[in-house]
Amino acid sequence: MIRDITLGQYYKTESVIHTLDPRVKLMATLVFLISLFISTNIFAYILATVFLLAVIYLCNVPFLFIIRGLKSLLVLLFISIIFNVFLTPGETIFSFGPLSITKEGLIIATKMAIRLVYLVIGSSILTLTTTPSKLTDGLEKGLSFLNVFKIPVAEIALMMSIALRFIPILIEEVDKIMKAQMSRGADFEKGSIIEKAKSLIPLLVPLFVSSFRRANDLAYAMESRCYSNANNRTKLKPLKYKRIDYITYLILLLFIILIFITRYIKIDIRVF
Amino acid sequence: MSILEVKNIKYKYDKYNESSKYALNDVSFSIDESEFTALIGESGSGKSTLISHLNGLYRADSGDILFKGKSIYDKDFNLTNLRFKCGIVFQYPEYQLFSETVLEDVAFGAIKKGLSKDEAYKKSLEVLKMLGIDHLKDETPFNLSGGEKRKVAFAGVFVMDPDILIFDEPDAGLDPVSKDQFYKLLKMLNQKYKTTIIYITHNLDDVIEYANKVIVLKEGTVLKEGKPYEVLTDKEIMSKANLDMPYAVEIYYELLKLGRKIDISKLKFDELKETLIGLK
Repeated sequence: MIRDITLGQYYKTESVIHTLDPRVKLMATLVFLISLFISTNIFAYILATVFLLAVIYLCNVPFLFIIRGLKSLLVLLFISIIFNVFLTPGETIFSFGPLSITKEGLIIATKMAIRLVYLVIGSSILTLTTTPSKLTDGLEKGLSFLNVFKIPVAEIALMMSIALRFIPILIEEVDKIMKAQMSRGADFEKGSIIEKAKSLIPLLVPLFVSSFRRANDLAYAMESRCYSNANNRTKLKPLKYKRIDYITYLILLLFIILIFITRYIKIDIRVF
Repeated sequence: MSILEVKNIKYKYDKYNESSKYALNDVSFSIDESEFTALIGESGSGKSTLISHLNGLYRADSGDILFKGKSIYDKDFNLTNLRFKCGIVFQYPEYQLFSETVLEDVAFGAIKKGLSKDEAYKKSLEVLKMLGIDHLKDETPFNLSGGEKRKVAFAGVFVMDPDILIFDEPDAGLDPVSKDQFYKLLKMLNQKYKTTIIYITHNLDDVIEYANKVIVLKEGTVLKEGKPYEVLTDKEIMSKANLDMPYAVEIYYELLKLGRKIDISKLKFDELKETLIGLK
């Protein structure tokens, strides 16, 4: 169950997406997320779907593996749909006692569901196709202009990469702790909500203990290797744009322009 | 009679990738009651994955596991019950300890098994006494040394009265004296209470000393199983499994080179010592 979380994991394989410069992928993810939130009609969503499917096809990561990350999102998705469907005022389609489903509610719920799912898939693909070290390099270089404002970009990038790299480690650790506790008869699924919350104590305490230990070990290891961000660190493999990166930027530009254009398309049957 | 039977199990972690390797590939063996079995093999050979199958924590992709003749994959098989009977002590005791005091922590499994709080505490104290760590009962488990934590983790499993005790590298992080004490304790449990023991280890000298059965794993398959002296003296299997021979076996082969053939089934320390003293 816990292994189903794909966010933050890297999937090793060869693909065009894997070879792209991390800055391009970061920008692409940003553009994609923005596009999701400025999309107003069905054309924009179709465009976003086509874009996402193309990336999924190109990235060579098994489709089921990417989708797996959505399982953990189901509860959130369900709550958001329920709230939107029943609590949005508007033209009533169907009513059931005090509850009524409105046309507007359905539209908003569908939009929210699509946005959430695409958001998770989009950001999963970024981490699935980019190693944490490349991601940090990309962030550091991409945001280096902020150095002008005395913002410690390198430190922030390092913290982010450590946090990202810890996600799969923590997931694995939770898995091991669960195994150890289940071997002693712990059950994480049965019982009322209060019992379930209580049953999490044997899981959370060792997790915190080992996380603190890990963080401490990492800090010591970094210090004993004299890690410092003070003097502009040079890179073993400096990031350099290639032809494919420029082409991708062009595609992204085209994509976002098209999304903007869809805002001005008027359709007769206003579904979205 | 076999208490545990593993039949052709296969398991892979990355189920979404057709080309990924099987962590366990067609593994079969059986464990008899009150056997003392060592699981050996290089890192990544599937030992830990295998033991997680034995109490149903992982479900094999195919194949079957029988506990006392009943398939643990049957719909009406009680897996929680199996976990009480088939206690696993994992490699890192930190993953198991969470309570404020050692006594509370040890009692967890017994309470889950259905004992009243008083009974569970009483029993836990007995187990702590048996392990010689009852003076730690009011300490927080997190302040203990590595070896002590390991003992507490073991007590937490042992308190459930398991028929089978399974250990993942129980000797890692123990000093030589504690290690000897620990193995002697296992031997006692094995002989006195007929507890079946399965343990993963890299220390082959101790395998000769304590185990009465060895299973060698390599890349998720069983290379050979049998009595320690049969398996550990098999040069071909040992080099295939990428394992060094224990000292006793090396001495056996050195003597053989000198034209001295000693009894291959007597390689335990005391036996070998007797033999060597008796040699002229």
